[in-house]
Amino acid sequence: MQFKIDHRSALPLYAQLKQQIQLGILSGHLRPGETLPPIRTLAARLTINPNTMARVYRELEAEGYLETWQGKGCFVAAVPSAEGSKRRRAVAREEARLLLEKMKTLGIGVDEAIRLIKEVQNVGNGD
Amino acid sequence: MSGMAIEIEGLRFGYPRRPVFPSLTVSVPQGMACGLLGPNAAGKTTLMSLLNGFYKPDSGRIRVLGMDPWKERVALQRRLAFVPEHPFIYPWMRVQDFLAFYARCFPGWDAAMARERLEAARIPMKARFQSLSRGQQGRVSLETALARHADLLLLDDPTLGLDVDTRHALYRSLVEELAAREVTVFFATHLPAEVEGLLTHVIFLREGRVTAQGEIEAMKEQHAGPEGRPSLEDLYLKLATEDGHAA
Repeated sequence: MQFKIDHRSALPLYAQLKQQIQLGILSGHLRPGETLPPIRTLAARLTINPNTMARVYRELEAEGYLETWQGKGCFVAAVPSAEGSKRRRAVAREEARLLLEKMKTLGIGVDEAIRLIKEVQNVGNGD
Repeated sequence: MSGMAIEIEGLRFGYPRRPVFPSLTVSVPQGMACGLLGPNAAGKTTLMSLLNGFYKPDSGRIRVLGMDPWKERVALQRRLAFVPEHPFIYPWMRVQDFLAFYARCFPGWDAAMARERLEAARIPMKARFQSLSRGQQGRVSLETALARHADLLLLDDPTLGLDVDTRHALYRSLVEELAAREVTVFFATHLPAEVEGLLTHVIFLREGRVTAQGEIEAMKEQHAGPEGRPSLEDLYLKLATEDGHAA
């Protein structure tokens, strides 16, 4: 899995990583039962503090995204499909909130933002 | 996590004709990774020397792992590992002899780990230190220090002059150490962008004065603007350089 770290993001580092793993799971990129790299391997690869990485895994485990099996590592948990769609909605909602916030700083209201989204979609469909 | 690994209060120190710290107060909590950032001549190396007990403060109080570095230097040196900017290793010594020498200086030193890491980095054991490249020398210096498994790691810009591969190899070794045990890291560097993810705390130093210190996340939050939050490098430019202060 590829991670993108932005040190100027409005989100703290641990939250960025957490969100990317969540998205990977909810989009089906990471499948139930799939192994995640050990904390120290990932921390070394991304040059981040292993305590930050541990926090990401800990929180994802507490929220039911991951399961840790002693001695075997960390796995993507199986999630009932109803729960999965609820979570996808929650993440999409948060993304929408962030987008609207950004639009607001540009002086663009909700209606215009929706119009822009549709416009972009039409351009995409036109290809 | 409760105590402070480094605690300095009202430290005054200067060289005979050059005052360095008029009154320095800093603290680094145990188990954290704290960056020490500042332009050249801010006093970073002098601070490292004082923490090591190499110099006697003019006045004020320094506690490192609860000890007075000047008065309890020997006891303190058993619990901290220092990686200076320029490795001080006898140039004529072969790497393998240096490892043997180091093992005698520090009982309990993890010789197997140091050897394993240096071999993985393809450092020739029979080569004399002076014949190694700058990067290899830096690697020997850091890996031997990490294998001390000390409670406190003092790193004085150990990546200076190293190429990007070697720098990242050093960071990976540092991550391994942070993952393996509770260690406090105090890391002076000129490359904040490369180590931002490793650090939890930062101290900005300019002309012998602390211009800001604390948790990085809190500091970013405090200086957040409408377009997001500043990176550590942005904070550095804003808080520790002349341009930032003039602005």
